[in-house]
Amino acid sequence: MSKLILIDGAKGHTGTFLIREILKTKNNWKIIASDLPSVRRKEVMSKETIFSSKLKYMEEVLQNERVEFIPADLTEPESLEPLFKDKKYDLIFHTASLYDYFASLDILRKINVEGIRNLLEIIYKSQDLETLRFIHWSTCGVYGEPKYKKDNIGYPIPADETTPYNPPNNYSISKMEQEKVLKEYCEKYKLKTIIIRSAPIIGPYQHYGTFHIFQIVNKSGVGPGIHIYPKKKRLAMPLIHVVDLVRAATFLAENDKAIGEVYNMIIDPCFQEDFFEYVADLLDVDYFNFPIWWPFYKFMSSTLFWLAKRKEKKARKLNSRPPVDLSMAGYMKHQYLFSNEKIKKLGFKFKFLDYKSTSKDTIDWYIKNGWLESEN
Amino acid sequence: MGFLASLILMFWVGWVNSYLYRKFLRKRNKDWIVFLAIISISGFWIFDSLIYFEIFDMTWLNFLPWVNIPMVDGGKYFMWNSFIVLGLDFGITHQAGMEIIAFFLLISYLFWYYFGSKLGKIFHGYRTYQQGHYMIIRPVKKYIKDREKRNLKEHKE
Repeated sequence: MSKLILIDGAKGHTGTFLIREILKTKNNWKIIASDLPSVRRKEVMSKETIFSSKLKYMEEVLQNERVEFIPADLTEPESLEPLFKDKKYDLIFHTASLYDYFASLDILRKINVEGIRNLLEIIYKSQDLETLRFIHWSTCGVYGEPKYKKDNIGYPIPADETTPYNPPNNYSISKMEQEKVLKEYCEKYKLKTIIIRSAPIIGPYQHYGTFHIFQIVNKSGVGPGIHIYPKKKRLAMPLIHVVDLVRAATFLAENDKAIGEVYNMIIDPCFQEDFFEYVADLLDVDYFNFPIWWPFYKFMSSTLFWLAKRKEKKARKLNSRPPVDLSMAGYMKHQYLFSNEKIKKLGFKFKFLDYKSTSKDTIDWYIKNGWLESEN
Repeated sequence: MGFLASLILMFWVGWVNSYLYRKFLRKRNKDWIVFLAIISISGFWIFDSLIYFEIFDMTWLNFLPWVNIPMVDGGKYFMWNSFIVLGLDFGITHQAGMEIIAFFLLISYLFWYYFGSKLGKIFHGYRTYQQGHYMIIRPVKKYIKDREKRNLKEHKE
């Protein structure tokens, strides 16, 4: 069945992959793609150029004949009008967001929270809410580090979608507030919504977030082989492959049972120590085992976190950005373990379900395309 | 140089060599890591053996008021009392059977060099573009400067 769909954040990492997925699998869907005008995007998305100016997303998908690009800025309601004028959408994929751990809460609120409010307001005024479905991108970060239930050996059980909010950083706070605004509209105007809470995204073309992990391991030349004891304290590595994320979005968009629901998008649980060993292997760097008792590890990770905090403070003073944004360093201190059972039960089949296939696909691409430094 | 001092120096030379290799020598020839090890370890072996067998006479150090190397078996005395030059005289005299210990200490230079270069590799990196765990403590100002320089270069390209 032919559908008219809107994808905002279309020049971003997930947005471009979503367009590619739809072009590949949905022949009758016509795409209206939207994103910030180029100049404004450069201003807002400094994270896309500051670490390296040569790394670009897959923007060529916007040139496809089935895609019409209309620039708009969520923070300026009047700029959204051309997107909705004389158009009745069947699906709206709201991928647009400022995903930046370095940004201040004010800016994040302005773009992420006020942005969705402006978008929902115009949707409410111009669209047929009976037929429209709104697929919203959120993050597992809204859970923070939950109070986990434990299994027989004392290892935490992955948290599901009913876990209460406890966002640990500004970005996650803004995503939580975004969800609340959405839920408000959903209750008030019966808007059909689906929320996807994604784990940190990896995959080709990704150059912020988990990309920095690969970059650091590659540049340091040694994989961090930290093995925490007792084993029940081992930290998890939450990840999701961008291809599965966009596949899940189209899958959920067409599934009636998904309406009004929230879904975690994350691979099966894996440990950081296994992930890093495998990454070191793929990057052909050294790896040595360093067993450490949990209290010592906590002290060590807190020291490194403190160091990262100092670096961030110094970088802000110099009006620049540190090598790694502070919230990313938080992953070495906290247990982020979430369940993907709900979407699996709905019938979604992951293409990259474990850390090995996920990271191999990504790193192979980085190496092939020269995104990671090498001597060649 | 004294056995104990040589062990410490071997570790340190291994550490420094790994930096020199990554920073200057690897781009010229990847085998420099082996050449450096051969030069350093054999250098220490030869030098220390020459002292031990008194081909190099170390009694000249007696001009220092706090040094008192005996005229007989002075080389061996110097080797067993590493820090005599610093005024730390343990008074260990050579006795029968100590040659075996001396032999194993000399052999252990290999291990100490390897240990130093391995830790150096972790700290400095191995390949030309790597920076090792030094990245963790690298000053932010320097990092930002390098990043800006690289971005400018990429932009020009």
